[in-house]
Amino acid sequence: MSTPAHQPKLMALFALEAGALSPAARARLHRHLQRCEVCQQARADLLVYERLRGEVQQLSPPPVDWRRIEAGVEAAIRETASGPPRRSGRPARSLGWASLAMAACATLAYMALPGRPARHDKMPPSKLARIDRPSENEPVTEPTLQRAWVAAHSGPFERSPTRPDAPGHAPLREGDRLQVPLGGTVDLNLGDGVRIRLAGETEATLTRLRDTHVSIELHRGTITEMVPKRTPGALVEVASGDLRVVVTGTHFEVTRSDSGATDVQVAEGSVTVLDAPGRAVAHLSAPATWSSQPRPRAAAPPEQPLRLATPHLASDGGGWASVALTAPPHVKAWRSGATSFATAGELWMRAPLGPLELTAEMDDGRLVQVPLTVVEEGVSLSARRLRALVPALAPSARAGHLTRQQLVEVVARGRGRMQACYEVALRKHPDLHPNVFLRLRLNAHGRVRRLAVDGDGIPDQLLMCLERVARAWRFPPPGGPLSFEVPLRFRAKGG
Amino acid sequence: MEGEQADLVERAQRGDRAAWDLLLRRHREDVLRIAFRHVGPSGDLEDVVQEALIQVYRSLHTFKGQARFSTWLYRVVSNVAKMHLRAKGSRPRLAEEFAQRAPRVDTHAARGDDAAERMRRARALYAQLDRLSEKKREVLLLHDFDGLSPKDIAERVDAPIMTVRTRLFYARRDLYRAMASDPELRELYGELGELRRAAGQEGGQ
Repeated sequence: MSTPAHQPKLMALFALEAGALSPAARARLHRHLQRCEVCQQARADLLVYERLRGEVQQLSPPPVDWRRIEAGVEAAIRETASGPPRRSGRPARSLGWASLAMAACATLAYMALPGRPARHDKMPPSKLARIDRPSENEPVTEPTLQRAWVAAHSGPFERSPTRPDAPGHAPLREGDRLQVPLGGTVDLNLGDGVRIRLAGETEATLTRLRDTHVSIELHRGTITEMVPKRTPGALVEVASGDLRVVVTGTHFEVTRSDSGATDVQVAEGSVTVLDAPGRAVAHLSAPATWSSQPRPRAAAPPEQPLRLATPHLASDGGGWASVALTAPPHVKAWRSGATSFATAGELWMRAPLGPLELTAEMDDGRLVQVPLTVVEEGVSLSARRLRALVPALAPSARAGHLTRQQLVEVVARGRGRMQACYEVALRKHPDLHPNVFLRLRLNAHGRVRRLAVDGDGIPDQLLMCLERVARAWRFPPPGGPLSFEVPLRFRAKGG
Repeated sequence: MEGEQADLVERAQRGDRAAWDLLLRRHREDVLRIAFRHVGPSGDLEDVVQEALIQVYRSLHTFKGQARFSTWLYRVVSNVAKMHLRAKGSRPRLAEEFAQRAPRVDTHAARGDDAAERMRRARALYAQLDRLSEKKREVLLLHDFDGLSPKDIAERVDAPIMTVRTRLFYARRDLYRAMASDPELRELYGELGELRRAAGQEGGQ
């Protein structure tokens, strides 16, 4: 019959380490330890743990990219239409409707004010009559306010005037000014199927949102507009400087350059370009392009059919919810139906409840289907979750490879500059001998995509200098993403 | 300061964006520290911090001022970190494996580089901690790594002190057993023989 293995006296060993044993108990345990290998082993393990614990306690969190994190938080906040849920615990969605009602009331009150600025009021009524506007003699019913909303956007955008009760996705109002930075796009639905896209580096104001008259003032950049055939008397226009591009049903694009020039492209239907007094400068039928510089000229039909962006069409009513996705690093663009979005990190869009077919265009040319199910609460997925859901989006699917020698060669070339960083920092911190740990992630082309600098007591000056050096490294293309670590130990020359 | 903090939280609860921004700036480092303590040196840290901040925003209305804001913040962030670890445990660990296979480049003095080795050892320790149950893991982290007393831990995790002590004991026991069967951790430390001799010698005193 075998003897059961001796179990180490863990409780007593913990107490010994914590100094919680009486002198007599300590002496007894020491006597036991002398002859018990199992307990010696256990105590050695405990000492290893104590050392590790001490080390881990000293570790401080690595530097993180707060700008990226805060952008992600901001995007999530925009989803919650009216700020954080209130103490009453009512769901955010009902508050969203409350703010919508308040916004509508406020806008109606605003509309009732006399002397309210309105772009079309500046136009001579007689000229406006030329473009199917009801004449003053006809009975005119009060135009009703159109419901307008953000249908989708890739990347962040700014909306002003900023109101605490009106985050980016709240219903749009007359007078709202939108600024889209480089690389982003914003799709708006302006009611009755009118949808527009503001491209990157575009700034525009929604001057009028009425069922009979929708007007957008383009300050700079590019607007692509899709307007279904309008009922007689209904007008949609884009004002660009002294020119107005007026449509009744078409797919067109207006660009205003920094020099003030206005370019128009028409892919479907026809548009009329009017000057300040309301005279027709050009009548363009698709396919057509036109420019105000060097001077207005007749439309010259292009040889190829024009392909313009298709803004996203979405409802702001029930049965739709928001979808917020942070694109994994290798996703170049998203496609949903006929609409394509260049990624600038995040894509937000309204989508119908139920299955949603999205396609990710990868930077290596692959098209990856991303099937999602949109639920009432909306869908919000980080890049990491998306990769977990759809393995084809994961970088490990095509992990890059470089030999150790290839990596060492590039890093070694930067050694002089890194040493210079250190020596500059040494002037302020004479006792500086840090151990630094660079964590790099390369893209398929060998550029540094992510970089973290770890280490204890590294002055900011040295940290930033090392970052600059490491970010400038150009590795041979690994053919896919590649992560690796570079430990560095800095010592003063002769030290 | 506490009054100012309460006012800030209340304004943020009412939807004041400026108050929320200030609250975020003031506590983001706390969130980072709590998240780091839970997930350790992991590539997912930024994701966890972001998720935690979003959760703080969404749960702000649940803070009633009965506990300290730091205690409430700890609970929210640690819950997010736990959810993350749960999800991580139920998924194939492609990214982790990839990171471990990634080439390591030594320039000046690669072997025995202190910071790098410390980081590797910390990762190995966290890999062992991931084997513990959530409750044991949390108590162990709070006691052994954050240095909190069982009383403070009991408040944080909303459990009786005796339960905390019991969890702590079993957490340590499980962890030692796991460490004993992890040759990589021993190799990383490379001093086990020396420590064992020390344990025996001390026992002989």
